[in-house]
Amino acid sequence: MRYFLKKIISLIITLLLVSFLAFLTFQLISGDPVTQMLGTEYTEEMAAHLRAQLGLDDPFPIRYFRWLGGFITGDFGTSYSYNVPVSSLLSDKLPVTGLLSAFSFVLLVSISIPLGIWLAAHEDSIPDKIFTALNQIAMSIPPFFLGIMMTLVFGLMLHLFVPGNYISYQENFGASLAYLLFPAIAIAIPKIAMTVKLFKSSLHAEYRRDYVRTALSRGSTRRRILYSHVLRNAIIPVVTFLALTIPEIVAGSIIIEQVFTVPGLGRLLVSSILNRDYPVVCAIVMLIAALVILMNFLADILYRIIDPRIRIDQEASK
Amino acid sequence: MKRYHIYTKAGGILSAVMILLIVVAMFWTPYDATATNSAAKLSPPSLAHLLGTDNLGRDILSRVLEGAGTTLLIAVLTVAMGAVLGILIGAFTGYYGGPLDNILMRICDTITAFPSFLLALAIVSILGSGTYHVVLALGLLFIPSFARIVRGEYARAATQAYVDNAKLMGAGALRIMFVHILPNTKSVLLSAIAIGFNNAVLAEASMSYLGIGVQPPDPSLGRMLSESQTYLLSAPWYAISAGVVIILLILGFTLLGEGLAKESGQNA
Repeated sequence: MRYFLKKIISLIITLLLVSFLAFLTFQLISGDPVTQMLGTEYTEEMAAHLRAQLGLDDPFPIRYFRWLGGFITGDFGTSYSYNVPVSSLLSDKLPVTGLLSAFSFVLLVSISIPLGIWLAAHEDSIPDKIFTALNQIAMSIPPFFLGIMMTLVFGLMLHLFVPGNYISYQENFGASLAYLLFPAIAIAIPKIAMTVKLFKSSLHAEYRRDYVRTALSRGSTRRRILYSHVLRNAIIPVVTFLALTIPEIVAGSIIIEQVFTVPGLGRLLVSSILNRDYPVVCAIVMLIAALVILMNFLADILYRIIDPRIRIDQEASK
Repeated sequence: MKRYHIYTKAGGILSAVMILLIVVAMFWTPYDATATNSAAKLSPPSLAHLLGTDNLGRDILSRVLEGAGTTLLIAVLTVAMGAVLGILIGAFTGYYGGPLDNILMRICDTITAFPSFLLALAIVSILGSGTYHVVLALGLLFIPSFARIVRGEYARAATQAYVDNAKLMGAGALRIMFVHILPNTKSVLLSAIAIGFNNAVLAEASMSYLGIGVQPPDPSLGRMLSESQTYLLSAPWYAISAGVVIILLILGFTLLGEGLAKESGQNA
């Protein structure tokens, strides 16, 4: 229990640290938002009035805590370029990116785990050799280039989907999911290649352990050893790895959304960066940062839950 | 004679060929990469234009090679920045240890956990885009991963006999760190550098693709890809050329990095 408490405290400290850094960069270094909001023609009184209205004259710690308090309660400030609350901009886009990332993650898990097991059971077979060679190339393909090629082949040549014609999930959930299939695959393929590679080497290392030799000498079949012993141990690093890929998938979807013109967080982020709309950029970066930190936390916890040996080792070493 | 891993050989040859082509392109390209030719817009690959031409009739081979040059320049500068500062931080924290070591490594862990491309976007959003801002953003982000690797090596070396011997012979801490220990971290460092190159190429291409990285008139593979999307069906060779060059660059560095890591006995 003490372990979890310690982890939770360190989680909160990290979150605070990151929020402070984000505040520092976006609120202070980014310059005076007033001149940006007012454009080129404004009077000093107008600027002073707006500054007071936005609370920019208050001392620094007060501004930080007000900003943080707003953040926790879902008030991310006002967008400079759209002049609406950032939260209302995000609430439109967040589900789209969430859906795409979740879809991609489901593909990643449901393909890489069975594939890894199958390839490990058929080591050095022809499919295994072909896969090993392809794997290295798949890991080197930038997801956005994969997306462009998929647009060309499946969209423009085979007409399986209409590029740029995203259907909102509120309008038709099935059609929306169908449009997101190709972007999700584009994000998932390089990750699948990495996961299978890790899983295979983990399985391989586990097969060389002494207990496998013992089990074999007692007449167990390789298949039985795989399912009842090896798999449980070999999957542990893979689960941790998968938890840590979630932020990468979200980051990947930012680029892929641009390729497939999916109106999600990514497109909002890119246009906000180009327009220097800092409240929006800051909110998106903070959201993803929180996701990263939470996933790291989760990976640590998962690691201990699925592998009691680690728990015992750590408690013994105290 | 040292035997190299097959990955090291393949990656080394591929990277060497790419670098050679890029260096040649700095002095000579088949066509002027910026010269437009309205008579030969979007023409498919031919003997005159090996990779075809783009929407303004510019020779794609020349443009791709120049774009790869920008990418490589950014990769070299960012990796150099990350490696030099990372080695300095890693060497001091690893050799001396202590509370500062703990704090710095915690910070490094937090930074490396983030998708580096996203943090680079955040930094560039404040600095503004452009080649050198991309270098600065990516270089900063590469420091922690180098620092962590180097720190581990130094922490291990600090307890070894050859370091004790050097101390007994009166060598100063700086001399021990950079003359005695540093050469021993070579194999680990080399693979980290190769992987850093690969990350830099990918991050730069992604950022430029989004329009937030390298700005015109500097040539860029990522921006070529985003331009080529408009002509995807009428001129697929445009997108394919730019994309394949990125893949070849990344593949070469990844293979090199993995091969070197395997040779030094890491489980990468």
